Amino acid sequence: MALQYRIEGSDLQYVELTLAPGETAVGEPGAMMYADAGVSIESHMGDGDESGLGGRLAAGFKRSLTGENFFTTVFTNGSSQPLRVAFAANSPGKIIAVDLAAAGGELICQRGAFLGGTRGIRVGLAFKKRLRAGMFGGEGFVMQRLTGSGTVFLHASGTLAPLELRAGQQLKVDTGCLAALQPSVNYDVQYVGSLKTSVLGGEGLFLATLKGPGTVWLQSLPLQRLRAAMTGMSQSRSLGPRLLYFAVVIIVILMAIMGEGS
Amino acid sequence: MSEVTGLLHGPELPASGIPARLQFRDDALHVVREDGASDVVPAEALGVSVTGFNENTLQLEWQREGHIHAVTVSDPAAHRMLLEHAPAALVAHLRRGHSTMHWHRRKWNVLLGIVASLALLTLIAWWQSEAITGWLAQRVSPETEINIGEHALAQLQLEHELTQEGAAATAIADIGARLTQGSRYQYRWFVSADREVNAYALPGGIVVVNAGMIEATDNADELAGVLAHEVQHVEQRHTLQQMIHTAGWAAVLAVVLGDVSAITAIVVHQLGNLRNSRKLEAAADVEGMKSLARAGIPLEGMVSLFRKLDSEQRRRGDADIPLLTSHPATADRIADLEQLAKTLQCTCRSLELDWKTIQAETKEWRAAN
Repeated sequence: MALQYRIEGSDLQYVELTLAPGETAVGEPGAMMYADAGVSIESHMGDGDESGLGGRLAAGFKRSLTGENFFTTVFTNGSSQPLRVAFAANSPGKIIAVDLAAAGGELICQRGAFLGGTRGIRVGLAFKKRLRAGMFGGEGFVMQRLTGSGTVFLHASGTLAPLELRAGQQLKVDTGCLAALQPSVNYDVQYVGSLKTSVLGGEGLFLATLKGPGTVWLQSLPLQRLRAAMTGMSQSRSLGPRLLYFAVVIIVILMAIMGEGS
Repeated sequence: MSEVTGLLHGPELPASGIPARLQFRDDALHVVREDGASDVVPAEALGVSVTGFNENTLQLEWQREGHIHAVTVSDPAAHRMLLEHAPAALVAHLRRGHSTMHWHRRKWNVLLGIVASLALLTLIAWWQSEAITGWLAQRVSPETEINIGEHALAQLQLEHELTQEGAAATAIADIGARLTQGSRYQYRWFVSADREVNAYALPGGIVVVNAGMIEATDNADELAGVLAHEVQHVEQRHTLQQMIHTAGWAAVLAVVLGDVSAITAIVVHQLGNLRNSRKLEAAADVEGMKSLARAGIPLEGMVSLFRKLDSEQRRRGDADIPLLTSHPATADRIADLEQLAKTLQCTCRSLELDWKTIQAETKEWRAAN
């Protein structure tokens, strides 16, 4: 039986699961918001179902590398009635539920995206082997590889939107906005095209490129952008950086006049 | 069986594709879905590309009625199977795709290999630094060596008052001449107006003795012992070797810190207290003793000087005698020297110099400068 759940809230969300008698779910430590009294709560090293200390240690280590906790909290309904447990997101954004089996059994997410799900979901390491994508793609070299067959709850800041890419279909994405993708999707970066655009376009030097087939989930507001916006507001308005910015703009305009711009 | 499993993608299919069995037969790709529906695509209509999160998936795509259809295969064994049975027209494309995937898999091994070998090389260089610097020191031409010595001397003269005149310098030059008979270097002897008990050799045959050293010795034989030792540092190019060593690490530092002026500063600063390793010190001791014996100067001077400095060091406790920090006089070393003094045959006569007068004159000169 599929996991019963309900996602509540608009921008500051939580997900409430209804556990059938005997059913278990896993969540990241600290993500639980409330649980019915009959739900037993236990901490496990690793993903919660490895056998042997070595396996649990290895799984825990992998989890901590991908931005998750070393431990997993396991919630079990030991009663004979359905009981509720809720996980809350830790930043403004959306929670989405993905049926891993329907998604091909495997999903790659940005670090820290995993919020909880069915017991048996494994959080592994997806190491981005392409140097330029790892360095400039905005997601780093290490991402999360979720494998299993149940339902997973992912969380990312901003609004999360799934986009389906046909075979060979390409999408340009601002770096940092990639929240999750199916492993069949090719992920790379591309130089933005011209010096003028990279300085004045506000997207940085590189754009991420995604090539189908497969589904990708994009987030509208990566945390680092939110942070930049907030620290920008809190700082006193000094003239220095602005002058520097105008100097750069003038240099770019001059270069454009001299034939560099396109 | 030349059949492999993959995923079929098309306009009306889910984004993640549906399972299908693939096979090359009669210059065409045969695709059979799980529901039995099948498709045949001629090889010349197929395009090959590499896709997937980490460029680990082979994609064969074709166009039909304006839509792209594709099959993707991510299992390496299946890639090899496809390559083996592919029609001639596709083999080159498939092979290119295959090598791209291979490269992305291998790239990190290559990178790690390079980093590991660099680390290993650094480790070996550190461990074998003495052998390496010794080898390098032997490669330096005598002209360069003299040149380096001159530069170091010029630098030294900025910081210290050096003289080649006076009774002490003359006495040192006389003793030195006896110790350096038949040497390939043209030696020059200096006395420095420095009260620290120390003496040092520069590359190319420059020996500097501090006034403090002269004042600390009881007789000319003891000073001859110091000179014999320092001369061997020149003859065996130890100072040069240590300078190369220091310069080498300074160069590493300079590269890391991005400051080139650090090299010269560090090398010059360390001139007075370049630390030779125990091995080099022992070599200078042994050869120094032999040269004393050849010159007919009593060997006991060298032994008694080190013994005296050692007890002085003990008396002073923490305060270091500079000569001993650069020339550690351990009990073992003194014992070795005594042993060697016994075995060497020497028809020696003590140096006949009015040492008290020379010391007094040196002290006066030092005080004046």
